[in-house]
Amino acid sequence: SRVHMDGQSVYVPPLSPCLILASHAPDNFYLSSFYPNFYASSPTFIYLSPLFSSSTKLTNKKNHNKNKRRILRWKPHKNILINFLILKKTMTYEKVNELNLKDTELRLGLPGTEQAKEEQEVSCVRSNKRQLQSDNEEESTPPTKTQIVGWPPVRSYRKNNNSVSYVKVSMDGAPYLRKIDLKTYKNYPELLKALENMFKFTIGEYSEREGYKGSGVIPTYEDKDGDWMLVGDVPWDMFSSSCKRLRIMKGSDALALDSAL
Amino acid sequence: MDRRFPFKVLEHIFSFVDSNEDRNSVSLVCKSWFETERRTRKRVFVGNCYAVSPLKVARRFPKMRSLTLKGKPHFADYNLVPDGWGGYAWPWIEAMAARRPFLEEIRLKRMVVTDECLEKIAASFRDFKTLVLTSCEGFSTDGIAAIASTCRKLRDLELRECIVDDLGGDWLSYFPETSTSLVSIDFSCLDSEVKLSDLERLLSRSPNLKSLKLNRSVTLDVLESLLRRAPQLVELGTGSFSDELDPEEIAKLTKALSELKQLKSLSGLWDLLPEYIPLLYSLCPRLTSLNLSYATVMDLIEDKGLKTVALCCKELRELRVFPSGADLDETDVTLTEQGLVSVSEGCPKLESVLYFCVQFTNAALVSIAKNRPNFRCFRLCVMEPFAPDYRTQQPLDEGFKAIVERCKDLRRLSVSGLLTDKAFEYIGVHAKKLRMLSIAFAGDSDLMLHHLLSGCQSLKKLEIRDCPFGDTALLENAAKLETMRSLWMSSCFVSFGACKQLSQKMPRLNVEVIDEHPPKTRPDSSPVERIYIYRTVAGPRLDTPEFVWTIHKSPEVGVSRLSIR
Repeated sequence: SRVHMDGQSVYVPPLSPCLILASHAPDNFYLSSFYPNFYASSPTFIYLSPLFSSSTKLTNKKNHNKNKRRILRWKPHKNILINFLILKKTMTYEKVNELNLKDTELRLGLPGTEQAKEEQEVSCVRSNKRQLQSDNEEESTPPTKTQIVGWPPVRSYRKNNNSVSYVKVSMDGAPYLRKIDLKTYKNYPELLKALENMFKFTIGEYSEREGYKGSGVIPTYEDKDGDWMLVGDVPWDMFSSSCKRLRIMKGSDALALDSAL
Repeated sequence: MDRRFPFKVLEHIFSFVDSNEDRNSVSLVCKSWFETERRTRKRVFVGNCYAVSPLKVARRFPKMRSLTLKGKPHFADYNLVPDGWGGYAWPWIEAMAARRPFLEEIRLKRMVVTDECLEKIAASFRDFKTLVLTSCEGFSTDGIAAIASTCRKLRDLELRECIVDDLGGDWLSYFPETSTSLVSIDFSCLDSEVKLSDLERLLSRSPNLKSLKLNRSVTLDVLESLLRRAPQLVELGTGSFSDELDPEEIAKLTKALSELKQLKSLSGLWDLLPEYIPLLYSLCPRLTSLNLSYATVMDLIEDKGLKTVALCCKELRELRVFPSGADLDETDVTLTEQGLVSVSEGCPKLESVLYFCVQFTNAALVSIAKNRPNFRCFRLCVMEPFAPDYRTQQPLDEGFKAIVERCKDLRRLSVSGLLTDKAFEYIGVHAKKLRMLSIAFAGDSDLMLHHLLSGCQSLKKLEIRDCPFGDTALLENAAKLETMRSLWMSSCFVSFGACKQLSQKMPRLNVEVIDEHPPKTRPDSSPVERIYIYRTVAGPRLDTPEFVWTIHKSPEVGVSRLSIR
């Protein structure tokens, strides 16, 4: 597979551990990575320890840019100037006949060099401590889910069906969390009505400029990037595919947001 | 004078020998015992369908009434075995249909079963009583309908976690109105709706029904009417548990549940709403098995929930706690090691555990081991690979040491978290009754494998993934492999050359390499992606797909792939 660094491409031979030094970059250096269906299951490990700067840590809550880039929130290692990149990769048998190198491409680059619109998830496996230099301190755990074939060892039919997409719904002050299947709703009014019934509240009227005015109840959601957004700002399809959980804010927090909007 | 016991006397004595392990020992004593034993064995168990040919088994046991077969390696459950690997039931069904028409029971696990197989069963075995398919695939509801309609004496029809081509719920209506023999039925893995009236009538005319496992499309509002018709149930798998019920319906359901005086096992509970949990309280004191794996709507099971289980379910023998998808993203983890500690404290009869958790501690494992030395099956999956004890940052060696030291009857163990070779040294030294061991992302070196293969006397199945060792330990302990059913290793450092050496050294092992590239084209030192080694008297199998290579016994040939489609 190829690794692009600062616009140059570096060949990584398969099935062998390798170390690539990534130079310390200034602010706004970020990492984009594998396509979401990348799996790793071979003895060579990829370990990503990217840099990030606190100034680029969080997107503004109102930034609904479709081409939002992925900001990683790992703590940089305290006492190293160089970050290590160790690649773990192989192809899974789902792709036995189509060796798709693009899927395993790892790209490092400055913001703005990002071409693809697709959501790309960071994928990595924390390597066995003994494979790294033993004087490396432990990194903080990778923030995103690792994608390893057959892990955790749960039979696939138990995992999320493609035909349902459950998200948790919490409401400030309610004793129980609920879960709903977003696929059962076709648009925002249906969803909001269902939420109103579930939690016994009424929601104010929505306007793009002013949010939900009047009731002191604000529906928010956490998207794939971990950012909390206002329900209703983006088109329904985009919302339903990126919404991970819902939180219905109430009371003073909501009022404050209400008036700020 | 003939000093041997007359055949009739031996036969009578052997009729008291139930366990197949004992029967296997009996058959090794001498020729006449072998002959007598084989003529009297009724229940035949073949743990690996490729270890022996169907014809040989059919010929050896003329009085066979029950056949149990297992096909794919266990890690097939986690997508580590590519589709098409094998495990076909057809050759067995065909052989038995031709030679053993009095067969009554067939139990298959992880095998490919087609509608043709099911139709053959229905057509060939007149007294057929029991069909149990676990984790099987390849058939549709049409095949089930054939069984239901034709097997007049059918007692057990269980589809456990199968992947079925679901063409609709009509199959249930194929049970003839005259059939009253049903003892257990499990269609929990099917999707489509069955007709309520068919189900009600079936229950009403099945007084012997002990086990009923519904599928998700059976809604909560009809549950009461079903339970009313089957108060004698010992095992219940409900359907969906989430409809809104009015108070009257709730009262009726509560009553119906409390009438299940013999209920020992509860499962199903899809989409369980928290407000309905109190309905189940009346059942808890008698439960020995509780499966909440589908009650995911509320992330129901947290430490608090397990504490309640510990307080109420004093007869509990088996507990399985699965992760919901969200567990992996959660920062506020509410299911921790404490949950399992509580249950191990409160449930004195607990002997089998499957527990998924984000993180664990040695202290918790030591407590659990102290509380429950009677574990027979302990499977802990710490979902973060290489996760150490999160309090001390130490490997979980000492924790698992406590488990294997104290639980002297441990038959099955799955380990996880950060583990060094030491953990496996402890396992090798203490786990003398261990038969099955599963390992992932663990160990430091070849020593790990060496400890296990040289130490665990009773080891029959070993499955390993993503561990850093390879050839030396494997070759040094080659003889051990013939005492085991199988060894699976994937993403380890086993070289093709070692596979060849092993195969040549051990003629009665099939060494199968699963790899998308032909191993012949690679140097001997190159690591092999997946290997599956099993003992067999049937030689290399003839049904391998193009990505499976059985290493030939003679060195010049290298690999062979005989294949008859």
